[in-house]
Amino acid sequence: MSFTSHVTVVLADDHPIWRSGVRADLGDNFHVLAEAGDADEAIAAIHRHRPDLVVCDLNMPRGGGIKVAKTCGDMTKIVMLTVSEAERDLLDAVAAGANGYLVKSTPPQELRDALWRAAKGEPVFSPALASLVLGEFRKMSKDSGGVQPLSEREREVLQYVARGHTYKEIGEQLFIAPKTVENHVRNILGKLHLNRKQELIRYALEHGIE
Amino acid sequence: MSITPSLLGQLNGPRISPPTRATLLRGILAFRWLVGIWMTVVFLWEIWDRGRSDRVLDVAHPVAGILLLACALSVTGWLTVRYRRDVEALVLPTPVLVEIAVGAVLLFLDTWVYGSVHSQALPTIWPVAVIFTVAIAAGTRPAVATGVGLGLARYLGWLIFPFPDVISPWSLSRIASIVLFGVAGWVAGYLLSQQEAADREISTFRAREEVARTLHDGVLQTLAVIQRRSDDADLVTLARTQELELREYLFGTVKVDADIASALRAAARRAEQRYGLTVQVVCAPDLPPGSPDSIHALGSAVGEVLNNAVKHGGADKVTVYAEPTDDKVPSIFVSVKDNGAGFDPATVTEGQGLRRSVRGRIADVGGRVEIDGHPGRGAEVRMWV
Repeated sequence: MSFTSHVTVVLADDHPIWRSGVRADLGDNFHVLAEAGDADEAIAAIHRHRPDLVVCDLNMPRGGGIKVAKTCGDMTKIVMLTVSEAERDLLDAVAAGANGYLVKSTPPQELRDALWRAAKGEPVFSPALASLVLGEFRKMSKDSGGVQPLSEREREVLQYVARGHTYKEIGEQLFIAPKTVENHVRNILGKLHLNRKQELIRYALEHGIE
Repeated sequence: MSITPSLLGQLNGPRISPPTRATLLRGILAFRWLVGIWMTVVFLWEIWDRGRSDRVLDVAHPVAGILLLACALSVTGWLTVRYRRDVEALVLPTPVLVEIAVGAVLLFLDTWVYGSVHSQALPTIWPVAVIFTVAIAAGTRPAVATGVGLGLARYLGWLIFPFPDVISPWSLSRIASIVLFGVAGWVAGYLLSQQEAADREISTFRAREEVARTLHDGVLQTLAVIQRRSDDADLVTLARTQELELREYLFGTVKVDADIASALRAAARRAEQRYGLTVQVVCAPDLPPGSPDSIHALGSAVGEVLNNAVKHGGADKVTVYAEPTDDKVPSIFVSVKDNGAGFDPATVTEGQGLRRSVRGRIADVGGRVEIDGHPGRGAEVRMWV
């Protein structure tokens, strides 16, 4: 982490006190370009500022994090902040294009590290998210053909993440580099995203929506 | 008369929500009109039909009958006017007593008006409306009393104005009105008490939802801020404990032995409270609930593994993970991974806790256990049940 480079950020949360709190925690390596109080404001700010990273509350008025991820997932890295990992929308947000999520009670140092890595393109995966994704692939493979299934290695990696192993630990146990583990995780996210998109396309075709 | 209104006013009817109450009262009013029209048609038809044939059974007092029905219809009209001003005016003592009186008179004079056998009573089921109203205003017992009273009025009419024919006053059909009107009162009272219970449940639920939403948006966020931004370890622990308690309250206090997920969470909660450990419990969304035996075995085994993680590994962060396995038997996989010192399986011998509480319990339910350690990488215990 060099002192000369910094990550540009758009911060979206409907609680101003929370935004100021996160802003204070981010420190010198992050430069907050804009704050937003709802999904539409966030989308406008992202289009205007083109940040490296968007830190976005999952639950916001007018669409919340899912809308932001859907609209801007291809333009920038989006990390969801959530109060509860049990939230059903979490998986939808990630499938819509978010890079991962963090719970709001993550300590500042850990938050900074995770966001820094997210800005560099590393998926921010937690065991809970890995478990949700594994469940989703199990469900998809049961429900319908035509989805891109996980490879045996990807499933293995994802299960390691779900069990609480770090990328480094996984690499040691599978005799691969941590970077490779990270690539697997990124591919998994890509497949999830793609399968969701295909699902939408299939739905549109079946229902005659052009 | 002066004490009766206050007496009725003191009676407590079922507490149902005002909209439901208004709907019921409106329905009963509509019922009065329909029955009012019906009883008029029936009576007029009887007069016309009997006059047309050369039977001897003329209606004895047609004019009085029409006047009585007009009386009942004007009561209905008067109630409608009152209703338009205020729905609650329908359940005040005066209209209720007036309606009971009119209903009783119609039933009492029924035999006198007809003077012979006839298919339907003069007011047909018009008096049922007031029985329902009493049930709403005062509850089951007064409604039953009103029904029995109205039935008795009819019975009394039979005794005083006997038919020229031969049905005994003690026959079952004579008592039927008393029973049926009484039952109408009881059924109405019972249904309303059920409605009362349902309304109470709904309002409790709504209040809880509202509290949950408010706390979720405000207090949980604040507790999260405290945990992240405070350097005071005690304060952080306090906030963490409060958050856990609040969450448990808001998102349902799940019975510990309900399913595997709640058993694992309960074990995690205990370890967190005892050791100040952070335990993340991750359960697959499609995790089966498990049999009572496997729930109990996994719950206590995981509890023991968590103890070990703190005592031997010095861990402060543990992930408990559970998912269904692809193959049918065994069907559930659970792992407990800590961030402690780890161990070297070659040199460390298993203690009592591990052998009895973990391997023993899991073996009892036909499962198996794998223990994996690596110095510097934490320990992991994997279980298949």
